[in-house]
Amino acid sequence: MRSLDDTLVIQAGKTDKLNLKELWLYRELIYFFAWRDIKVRYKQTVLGAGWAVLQPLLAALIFTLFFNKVAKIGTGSANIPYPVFAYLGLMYWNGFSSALSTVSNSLIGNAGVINKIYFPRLIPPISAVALSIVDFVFATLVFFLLLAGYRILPGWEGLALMIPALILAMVAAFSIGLFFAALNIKYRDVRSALPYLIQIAFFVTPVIYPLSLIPRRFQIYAYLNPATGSISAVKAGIFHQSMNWTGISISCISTLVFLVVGLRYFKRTEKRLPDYL
Amino acid sequence: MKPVIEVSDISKSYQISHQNRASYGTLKDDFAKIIKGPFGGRSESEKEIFWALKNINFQVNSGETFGIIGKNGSGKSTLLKILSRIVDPTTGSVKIHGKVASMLEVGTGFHPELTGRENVYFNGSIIGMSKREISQKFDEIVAFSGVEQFLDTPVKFYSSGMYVRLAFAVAAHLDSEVLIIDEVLAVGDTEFQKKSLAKMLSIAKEGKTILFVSHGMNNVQELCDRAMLLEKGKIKIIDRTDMVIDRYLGRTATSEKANRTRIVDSYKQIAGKLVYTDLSGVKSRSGRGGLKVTKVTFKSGNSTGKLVCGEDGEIWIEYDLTDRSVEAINLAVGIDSLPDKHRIAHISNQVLGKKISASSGLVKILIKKVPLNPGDYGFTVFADNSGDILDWIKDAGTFRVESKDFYESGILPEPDQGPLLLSYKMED
Repeated sequence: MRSLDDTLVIQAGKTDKLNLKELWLYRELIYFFAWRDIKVRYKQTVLGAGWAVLQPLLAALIFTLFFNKVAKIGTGSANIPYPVFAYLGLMYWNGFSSALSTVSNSLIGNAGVINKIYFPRLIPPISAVALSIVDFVFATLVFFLLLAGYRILPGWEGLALMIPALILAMVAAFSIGLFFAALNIKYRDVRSALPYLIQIAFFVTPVIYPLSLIPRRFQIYAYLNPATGSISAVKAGIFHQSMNWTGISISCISTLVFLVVGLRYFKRTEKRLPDYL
Repeated sequence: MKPVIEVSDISKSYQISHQNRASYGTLKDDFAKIIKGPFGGRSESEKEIFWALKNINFQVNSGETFGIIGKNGSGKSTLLKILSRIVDPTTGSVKIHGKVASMLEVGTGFHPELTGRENVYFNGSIIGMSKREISQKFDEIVAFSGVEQFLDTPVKFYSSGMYVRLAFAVAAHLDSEVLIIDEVLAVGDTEFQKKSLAKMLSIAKEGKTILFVSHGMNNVQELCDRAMLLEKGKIKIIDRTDMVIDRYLGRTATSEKANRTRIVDSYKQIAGKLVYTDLSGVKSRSGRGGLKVTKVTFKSGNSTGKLVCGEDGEIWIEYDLTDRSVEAINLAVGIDSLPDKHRIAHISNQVLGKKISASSGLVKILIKKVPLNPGDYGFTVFADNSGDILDWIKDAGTFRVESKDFYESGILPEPDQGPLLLSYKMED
């Protein structure tokens, strides 16, 4: 796999550039890390993939009861049933937030291996995303059942956007997670703070409420949050609403910024990882 | 010969903080530092630079097996981690030609929930094998580990021995030109250690370059051509393995010589009064010659020609060396019960992990509290040079063990209860 037949040079104080060629050589390891995490995850649970479905389903149920029925928060349109609306939002949010937290903990979680063997340090964070994607796929199956149950015909634009929106959410989670993963090594506080950050982010992202609930002039700022772009694009598409392309572009650009900053910070800290692990 | 590993001027420093903290900080500390701002100078001075390695230079040639020894904290592990690209050196550079594989631990990445089969794949992949390579060698790996029956059992149910065997088996089948190995032999039972050492030897013979770190001097001795001794992060000596080991164990050549003179002198003083078994004229000996055992003397205290049960005993072996090309020998004495000639004990320098230089001509064996029932015993002497038998005299002679109060009770077991007297206690 590693055709490092040429000379390997280790030079003090040299920060490695992002080496895509090396990552490509190690592509099997990315697969193996993901494979291991998925195997372990499903082995330790009785329900296995059931959790991927149960989590958004139960959450959607609870939010329907308390947000929709009690607090009277709607979907912004009379023909969109709240449970489907909430489930779709939660499905993407869960994908985003679980990827964010697994990526953030991926270095600490693999400390034993990182301390004993060399491989590109980007591999555990990359593989960490895989588990969230697998869960997402299971959750999608139930989403289609819900659509059928409520006799909703999804917009083709929405269907076409499902995968790009997932990619956007995952790249964003990966980029932000990368920053936290590196920070986590030096400051273990990250591990404790992260769940709260994610919880706060959940409420400022239009997951279980429509974006129209936010005053119009602030909506554009909400798109700085990549999850907003991802979720509202799919929602608009599936439920036949007009697409805010400006907003979506803002989300894409902010994701790119996160990616560049995350990668740079990660590469800078990478070499010092074992000193802290 | 072309160097495969070139290490130039490697140093590694760590900052140790004296704040009684783990090496990772918390946000609180760094915030505190920021707030202290210009007045925070004091906390800087509490940090100290520690050099784990300082100015390390060496080269390892192609096909060579190079050992690294040193006490705990001498910098061995740090050096291996730098060579394995796990930590970055503070200064200096390393060049390695060819594909490198490093084993700093057996079973890196083994997950308790995964089965043996799954772990072979994950571990193999993490140490640098491709999926195809693992599949190809899978049967071989499993056969070497001897855990065929439990392949589909999660490794959390494995005994530690099975776990280690499987993990070593994966690593041993890794194909690379340069191997960096740390302490991995210090695991498993004796039998498996032998097996893994043999495997490493065969890897070394394939012409691969091996860098080996261990506390087991026997393994280093057996495996390595050259070795390096590290002390407090600096190179103490790089030389032939036996020289380096001698230095490490504090056996300097001069003190060894002084010790020899003392033995020979004390022997000469009493030589005239010794009762010994003369073997110089024995014809029924095997081996290729080159060395001839001439005298064997049994001695307990001042009485010679016999041992005394329960007292410290000595066996002196004198020999003539005619083949001067022989440098080191193994010398062994077998003790048999009489008259049935059952081997009851084997004495040799090899089991002590000690070397005997052939030129000495006289070897003294010390036995603590001779554990033999009074009576007559037979003995056999044997000398070889790494498998090349030099002299071998079966049933070379007999000696007597005199009665003495071994258990300080005035009672000894009947002779027909066996020749051995164990030191033991009984409680109720």
